[in-house]
Amino acid sequence: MSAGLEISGLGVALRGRIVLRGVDLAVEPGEVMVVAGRSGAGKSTLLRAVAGLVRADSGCIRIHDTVVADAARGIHCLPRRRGVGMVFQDYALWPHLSARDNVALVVPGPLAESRRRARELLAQFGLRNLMDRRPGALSGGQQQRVAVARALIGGPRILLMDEPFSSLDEEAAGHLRVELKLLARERGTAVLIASHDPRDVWRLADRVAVLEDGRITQAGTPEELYRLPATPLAARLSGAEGWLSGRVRINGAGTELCIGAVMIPGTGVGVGGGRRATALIRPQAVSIAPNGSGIEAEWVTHTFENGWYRCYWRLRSVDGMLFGLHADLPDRDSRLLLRREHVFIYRNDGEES
Amino acid sequence: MHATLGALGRAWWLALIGLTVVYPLGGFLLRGRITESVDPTAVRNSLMIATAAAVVALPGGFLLAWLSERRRWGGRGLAEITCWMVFLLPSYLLTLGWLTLVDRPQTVHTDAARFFFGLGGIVALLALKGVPFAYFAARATLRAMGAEWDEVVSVFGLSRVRAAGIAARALLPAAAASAVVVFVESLQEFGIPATLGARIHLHVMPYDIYARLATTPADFSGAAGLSMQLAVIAVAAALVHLWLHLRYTTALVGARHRGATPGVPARWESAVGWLCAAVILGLGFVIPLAGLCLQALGPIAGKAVPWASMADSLLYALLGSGLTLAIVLAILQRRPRSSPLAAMGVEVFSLASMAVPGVVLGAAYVFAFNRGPIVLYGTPLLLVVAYASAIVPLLIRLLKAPLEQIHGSLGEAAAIHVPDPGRRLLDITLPLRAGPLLWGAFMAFATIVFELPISELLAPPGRTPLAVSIVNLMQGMNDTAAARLGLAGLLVVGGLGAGLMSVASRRFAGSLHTGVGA
Repeated sequence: MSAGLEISGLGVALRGRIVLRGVDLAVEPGEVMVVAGRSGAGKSTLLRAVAGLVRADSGCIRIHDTVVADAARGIHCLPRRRGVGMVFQDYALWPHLSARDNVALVVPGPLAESRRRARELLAQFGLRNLMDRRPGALSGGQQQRVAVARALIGGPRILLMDEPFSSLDEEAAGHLRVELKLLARERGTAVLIASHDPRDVWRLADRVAVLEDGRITQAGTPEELYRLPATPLAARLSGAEGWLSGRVRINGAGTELCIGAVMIPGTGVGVGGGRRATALIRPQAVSIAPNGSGIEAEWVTHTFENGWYRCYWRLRSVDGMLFGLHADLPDRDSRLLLRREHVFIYRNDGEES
Repeated sequence: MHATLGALGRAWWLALIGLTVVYPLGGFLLRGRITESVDPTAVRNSLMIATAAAVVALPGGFLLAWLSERRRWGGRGLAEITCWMVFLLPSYLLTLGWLTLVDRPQTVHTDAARFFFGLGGIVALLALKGVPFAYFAARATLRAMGAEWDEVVSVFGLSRVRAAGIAARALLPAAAASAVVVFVESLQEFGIPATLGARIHLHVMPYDIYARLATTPADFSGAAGLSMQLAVIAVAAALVHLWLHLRYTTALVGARHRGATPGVPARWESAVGWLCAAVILGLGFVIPLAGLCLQALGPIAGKAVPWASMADSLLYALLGSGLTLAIVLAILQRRPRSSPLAAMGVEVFSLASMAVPGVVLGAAYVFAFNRGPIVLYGTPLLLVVAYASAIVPLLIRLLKAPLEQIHGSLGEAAAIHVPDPGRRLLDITLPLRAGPLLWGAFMAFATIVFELPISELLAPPGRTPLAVSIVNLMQGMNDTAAARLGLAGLLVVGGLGAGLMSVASRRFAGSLHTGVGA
């Protein structure tokens, strides 16, 4: 089966600044791919390049095997000819039109027929009684549904969504994530979502691409990303935090981060022995050690979070903190065990120590 | 290919500015030197009355702006209406209305009349016309001050004196910027010197420029020298305004700025505001309008009302406003894609051009297009082009903010989702911009219908514009005919404006919202 969307070697520069550098990506029909990254990493530009709103300076974009952009051959299809639907971050609903007409205008042909189809689709989206309202009279979640309906009514092969849930409350976002996932599968639409929110990665994505400084640094399934995050940013997306800095030691047991006399066991990612490095640790790594083993620590503060005690631990004689989730509030002075598979050790360059 | 198209795009509007602004103004102003020996009385009078008008207009305009933006004041609507009415009433009709009331046997020998027929009257009328400018300029700055200003004062429990001190440090530059705007407008004002000024033989720069060109033989060098001096003063003042505005508005607007949540005004604040608005509305609109009506009811002393000039002006206004709007849209459409340098270029161009008085532009057109490679003097085409050149800078400044408020993603959404270009234009592009465009078109139309200095200098033979006819009638002491013609013009333009606004508010309500948030 051909990829719904195939991007190879895509480079984009805006106002003399390189925003995307050699991006390679493929999204299958019916698949949801989340492009995760910090603000300014180039996520929106990637979507806009696919939509045809910015020109590719290098590389090629194919949609269902049709080349829609190829910098080397000077090909740049107009946005409306690419067969994409897009949900903008602010939804970009036309404020002077009703919800129904926002959707109907997208359908070519007689307006009466377009409106009938728009009514049907909006009814499916639970907006039967609101379709005559203008966007200003709809809530954020309702506007989002109208924007998705507008993007889908033309039967796009690719659906692009730029931070689609960023202005919704958690409940509305949760509902829409599920609906979107089902919709993509039913219609066989390839969905590419730009997001900085880890919840989109874990609750929505079939595959994830991590975009850093215009480059894809990791692409794979959420499981792959969780098992071995390739970069500190990917580790942070998976819930790890990093406060501990030291020197790497590799021995028979595996990789360890030495901070004075304290050894932190972990999974080394691209680090050699003797290098300065930082450990990023998931709370799942931390447990209370039995019988005097483990690392001496005291918690400095704690919160109660959804049935778990989140404790902020300071290791004895080490400058740095980590946090753990515990079913019961541990003693203030305890000894900690760290599970290697939830501790990731990265070289310090490119990441704060 | 793209680079070539971009270069061509830049070239056409640079050529347009070159031909309609730089060529005539450059040629004319270079003819006169700033040191040209001219009667210093006109310069001194102009500076004096413009300064006095700014000082008198500022407190009222600033107070109304303060109450409208920073207080939950019930008179906000009245202040807005007052300022727009005074702004839209042509200065020569304001003067005619007051002349009608003051120049009567019962009043003409009173102290009030002696005040009116002197510098005091000129300053008072200029100050009335200046109030809206002070109000608009101050509101823009006061709106930029977020709610935090009031909240910080209450959270930290600052004393009234300290709070007032902090506010004053922020507001004084805004007040200064407003005063400079009034100064520039008063300096350029032509209608009041051409009517009341002419009756009391007052020499001021704009009218003296016209007078030098209206005599036979025309004194081009003298007019050019005086124009150069007027332009230098006005442009310098406009640049001071730009500096104050940029310097202090930027400082006032924080990254996390929230709109002000106005506090409830004290009873005395509210009362002073109502009184101020009522006085300005009365003196600047209602009383002169009543005077015009009274005068219009009287018998016609001289020749009949030249109604044909109304038709001519409406036609000129239709053509001029269309041309103006097309040029403004072309320039503003280019701006977002342009470099910051080009954006700054448009900003400085529009401000500097606005600072060039209409009489100077008109005089430059007489000089440039009367001979040489392009001879257009005396044609309706030149008059319409001159109107457009004079109004384009004003309209750029008027429409820039509303058009920029339309979020770019709305157009991008249309580019992606609406395949039919006709539907895209008619259903998305035009309706989104309809509000500001209609408003801009109306402003251009109304300004041209009542425009005086350019009309005086460039009117084609036998096709006298409305404003020129009114002033000619006034100078011929035929005030009744002038009042009838003026009132008819106000009714036509006012009716058209009301109709347009009514259509716009029904059809395009909310077209300026970005669609985000309920």
